[in-house]
Amino acid sequence: MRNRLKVLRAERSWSQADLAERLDVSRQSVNAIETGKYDPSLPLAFKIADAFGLSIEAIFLKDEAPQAAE
Amino acid sequence: MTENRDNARSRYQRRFMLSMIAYAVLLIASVLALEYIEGSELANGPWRFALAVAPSLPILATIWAMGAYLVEETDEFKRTILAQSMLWGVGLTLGFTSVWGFLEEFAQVSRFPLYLTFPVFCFCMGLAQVFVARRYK
Repeated sequence: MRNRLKVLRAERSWSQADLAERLDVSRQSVNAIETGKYDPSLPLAFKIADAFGLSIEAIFLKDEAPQAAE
Repeated sequence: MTENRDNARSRYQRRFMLSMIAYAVLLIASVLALEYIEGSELANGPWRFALAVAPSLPILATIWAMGAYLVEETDEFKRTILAQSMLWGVGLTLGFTSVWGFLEEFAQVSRFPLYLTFPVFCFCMGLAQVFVARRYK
Protein backbone atom coordinates (compact mmCIF):
# COMPACT_ATOMS: atom_id res chain seq x y z
CA MET A 1 0.00 0.00 0.00
CA ARG A 2 1.31 3.43 -0.95
CA ASN A 3 1.98 5.82 1.89
CA ARG A 4 3.62 9.10 2.83
CA LEU A 5 5.69 7.76 5.72
CA LYS A 6 9.05 8.70 4.25
CA VAL A 7 8.00 12.32 3.62
CA LEU A 8 6.33 12.63 7.00
CA ARG A 9 9.41 11.23 8.70
CA ALA A 10 11.67 13.63 6.82
CA GLU A 11 9.50 16.59 7.86
CA ARG A 12 10.10 15.65 11.47
CA SER A 13 13.72 14.50 10.93
CA TRP A 14 12.87 11.09 12.35
CA SER A 15 14.92 8.09 11.28
CA GLN A 16 13.19 4.75 10.70
CA ALA A 17 14.58 3.70 14.05
CA ASP A 18 13.04 6.77 15.74
CA LEU A 19 9.64 5.98 14.30
CA ALA A 20 10.03 2.30 15.17
CA GLU A 21 10.69 3.23 18.77
CA ARG A 22 7.64 5.48 18.92
CA LEU A 23 5.50 2.67 17.50
CA ASP A 24 7.09 -0.05 19.60
CA VAL A 25 7.93 -2.15 16.54
CA SER A 26 11.18 -3.19 14.85
CA ARG A 27 12.96 -0.94 12.36
CA GLN A 28 12.44 -3.66 9.74
CA SER A 29 8.69 -3.28 10.25
CA VAL A 30 8.85 0.45 9.58
CA ASN A 31 10.95 -0.18 6.49
CA ALA A 32 8.57 -2.85 5.14
CA ILE A 33 5.55 -0.60 5.73
CA GLU A 34 7.27 2.45 4.26
CA THR A 35 8.26 0.63 1.07
CA GLY A 36 4.68 -0.55 0.71
CA LYS A 37 5.60 -4.21 1.00
CA TYR A 38 3.80 -4.83 4.25
CA ASP A 39 0.38 -3.45 5.08
CA PRO A 40 0.04 -2.75 8.79
CA SER A 41 -2.95 -3.96 10.78
CA LEU A 42 -5.63 -1.42 11.58
CA PRO A 43 -4.44 -1.00 15.20
CA LEU A 44 -0.87 -0.33 14.01
CA ALA A 45 -2.14 2.04 11.31
CA PHE A 46 -3.95 4.02 14.03
CA LYS A 47 -0.78 4.03 16.10
CA ILE A 48 1.18 5.40 13.13
CA ALA A 49 -1.50 8.04 12.57
CA ASP A 50 -1.30 9.03 16.24
CA ALA A 51 2.49 9.27 16.08
CA PHE A 52 2.20 11.84 13.28
CA GLY A 53 -0.93 13.48 14.63
CA LEU A 54 -2.75 12.78 11.37
CA SER A 55 -5.61 10.62 10.18
CA ILE A 56 -4.91 7.25 8.58
CA GLU A 57 -6.14 8.55 5.21
CA ALA A 58 -3.57 11.33 5.33
CA ILE A 59 -0.80 8.75 5.53
CA PHE A 60 -1.97 5.71 3.57
CA LEU A 61 -3.17 6.13 0.02
CA LYS A 62 -5.39 4.06 -2.22
CA ASP A 63 -3.31 2.21 -4.79
CA GLU A 64 -5.72 2.86 -7.65
CA ALA A 65 -5.73 6.66 -7.33
CA PRO A 66 -2.09 7.75 -7.49
CA GLN A 67 -2.82 11.22 -8.92
CA ALA A 68 -5.21 12.04 -6.08
CA ALA A 69 -2.55 11.00 -3.64
CA GLU A 70 0.01 13.74 -3.85
CA MET B 1 8.07 -1.61 25.42
CA THR B 2 10.94 -2.48 23.14
CA GLU B 3 11.72 -4.65 26.12
CA ASN B 4 8.60 -6.75 25.58
CA ARG B 5 9.56 -7.45 22.02
CA ASP B 6 13.05 -8.55 22.95
CA ASN B 7 11.65 -10.54 25.81
CA ALA B 8 9.48 -12.66 23.53
CA ARG B 9 12.49 -13.59 21.45
CA SER B 10 14.86 -14.17 24.35
CA ARG B 11 12.16 -16.16 26.16
CA TYR B 12 11.91 -18.34 23.06
CA GLN B 13 15.68 -18.73 22.80
CA ARG B 14 15.92 -19.66 26.46
CA ARG B 15 13.11 -22.21 26.18
CA PHE B 16 14.67 -23.62 23.01
CA MET B 17 18.09 -24.00 24.62
CA LEU B 18 16.64 -25.63 27.74
CA SER B 19 14.65 -28.06 25.59
CA MET B 20 17.72 -28.97 23.57
CA ILE B 21 19.77 -29.58 26.71
CA ALA B 22 16.96 -31.71 28.16
CA TYR B 23 16.76 -33.56 24.85
CA ALA B 24 20.48 -34.38 24.82
CA VAL B 25 20.41 -35.50 28.45
CA LEU B 26 17.25 -37.62 28.09
CA LEU B 27 18.42 -39.16 24.83
CA ILE B 28 21.73 -40.31 26.29
CA ALA B 29 20.08 -41.43 29.54
CA SER B 30 17.38 -43.37 27.67
CA VAL B 31 19.82 -45.12 25.36
CA LEU B 32 22.02 -46.11 28.31
CA ALA B 33 19.03 -47.23 30.38
CA LEU B 34 17.60 -49.24 27.49
CA GLU B 35 20.96 -50.96 27.04
CA TYR B 36 21.06 -51.64 30.75
CA ILE B 37 17.63 -53.29 30.96
CA GLU B 38 18.12 -55.24 27.73
CA GLY B 39 17.70 -58.93 28.41
CA SER B 40 16.02 -58.41 31.76
CA GLU B 41 12.27 -58.73 32.28
CA LEU B 42 12.06 -54.92 32.47
CA ALA B 43 12.90 -54.80 28.77
CA ASN B 44 9.36 -55.75 27.80
CA GLY B 45 7.40 -53.85 30.38
CA PRO B 46 6.07 -50.31 30.52
CA TRP B 47 9.59 -49.11 31.39
CA ARG B 48 10.64 -49.72 27.85
CA PHE B 49 7.83 -47.44 26.58
CA ALA B 50 8.64 -44.79 29.13
CA LEU B 51 12.32 -44.79 28.20
CA ALA B 52 11.55 -44.80 24.50
CA VAL B 53 9.19 -41.84 24.79
CA ALA B 54 11.38 -39.79 27.15
CA PRO B 55 13.61 -38.10 24.50
CA SER B 56 10.54 -36.97 22.56
CA LEU B 57 9.15 -34.93 25.47
CA PRO B 58 11.67 -32.06 25.05
CA ILE B 59 10.80 -32.06 21.34
CA LEU B 60 7.16 -31.45 22.32
CA ALA B 61 8.39 -28.65 24.55
CA THR B 62 10.30 -27.15 21.61
CA ILE B 63 7.18 -27.24 19.43
CA TRP B 64 5.25 -25.54 22.22
CA ALA B 65 8.01 -22.91 22.53
CA MET B 66 7.74 -22.12 18.82
CA GLY B 67 3.98 -21.71 19.10
CA ALA B 68 4.35 -19.60 22.24
CA TYR B 69 6.84 -17.32 20.49
CA LEU B 70 4.40 -16.80 17.64
CA VAL B 71 1.77 -15.75 20.18
CA GLU B 72 4.09 -13.67 22.38
CA GLU B 73 5.92 -11.74 19.66
CA THR B 74 4.46 -8.23 19.80
CA ASP B 75 5.87 -7.08 16.45
CA GLU B 76 3.14 -7.97 13.95
CA PHE B 77 5.51 -7.79 10.99
CA LYS B 78 7.86 -10.32 12.57
CA ARG B 79 4.86 -12.45 13.45
CA THR B 80 3.75 -12.38 9.82
CA ILE B 81 7.17 -13.49 8.57
CA LEU B 82 7.28 -16.24 11.18
CA ALA B 83 3.75 -17.49 10.39
CA GLN B 84 4.43 -17.54 6.65
CA SER B 85 7.72 -19.37 7.21
CA MET B 86 5.96 -21.91 9.40
CA LEU B 87 3.36 -22.53 6.70
CA TRP B 88 6.11 -23.00 4.12
CA GLY B 89 7.80 -25.37 6.56
CA VAL B 90 4.59 -27.38 6.99
CA GLY B 91 3.99 -27.52 3.23
CA LEU B 92 7.54 -28.55 2.37
CA THR B 93 7.62 -31.15 5.14
CA LEU B 94 4.30 -32.67 4.09
CA GLY B 95 5.50 -32.69 0.48
CA PHE B 96 8.80 -34.30 1.40
CA THR B 97 7.26 -37.03 3.57
CA SER B 98 4.56 -37.77 0.97
CA VAL B 99 7.11 -38.22 -1.82
CA TRP B 100 9.38 -40.27 0.42
CA GLY B 101 6.44 -42.40 1.56
CA PHE B 102 5.63 -43.44 -1.98
CA LEU B 103 9.30 -44.10 -2.69
CA GLU B 104 9.35 -46.40 0.34
CA GLU B 105 6.18 -48.14 -0.76
CA PHE B 106 6.97 -48.66 -4.42
CA ALA B 107 10.70 -48.14 -4.94
CA GLN B 108 12.14 -49.92 -1.89
CA VAL B 109 13.81 -46.74 -0.67
CA SER B 110 14.97 -47.11 2.94
CA ARG B 111 12.52 -46.19 5.69
CA PHE B 112 12.48 -42.55 6.77
CA PRO B 113 12.81 -42.27 10.58
CA LEU B 114 9.70 -40.44 11.73
CA TYR B 115 11.53 -38.68 14.57
CA LEU B 116 13.40 -36.75 11.88
CA THR B 117 10.16 -35.15 10.67
CA PHE B 118 10.47 -32.27 13.13
CA PRO B 119 14.12 -31.50 12.25
CA VAL B 120 13.07 -31.56 8.58
CA PHE B 121 10.29 -29.08 9.41
CA CYS B 122 12.75 -26.83 11.29
CA PHE B 123 15.17 -26.92 8.37
CA CYS B 124 12.44 -26.11 5.84
CA MET B 125 11.07 -23.32 8.04
CA GLY B 126 14.52 -21.83 8.54
CA LEU B 127 15.16 -21.91 4.82
CA ALA B 128 11.75 -20.38 4.09
CA GLN B 129 12.39 -17.60 6.60
CA VAL B 130 15.30 -16.34 4.48
CA PHE B 131 13.14 -16.12 1.37
CA VAL B 132 10.03 -14.79 3.10
CA ALA B 133 12.06 -12.05 4.81
CA ARG B 134 13.71 -11.13 1.52
CA ARG B 135 10.29 -10.54 -0.02
CA TYR B 136 9.73 -7.60 2.32
CA LYS B 137 13.15 -6.03 1.81
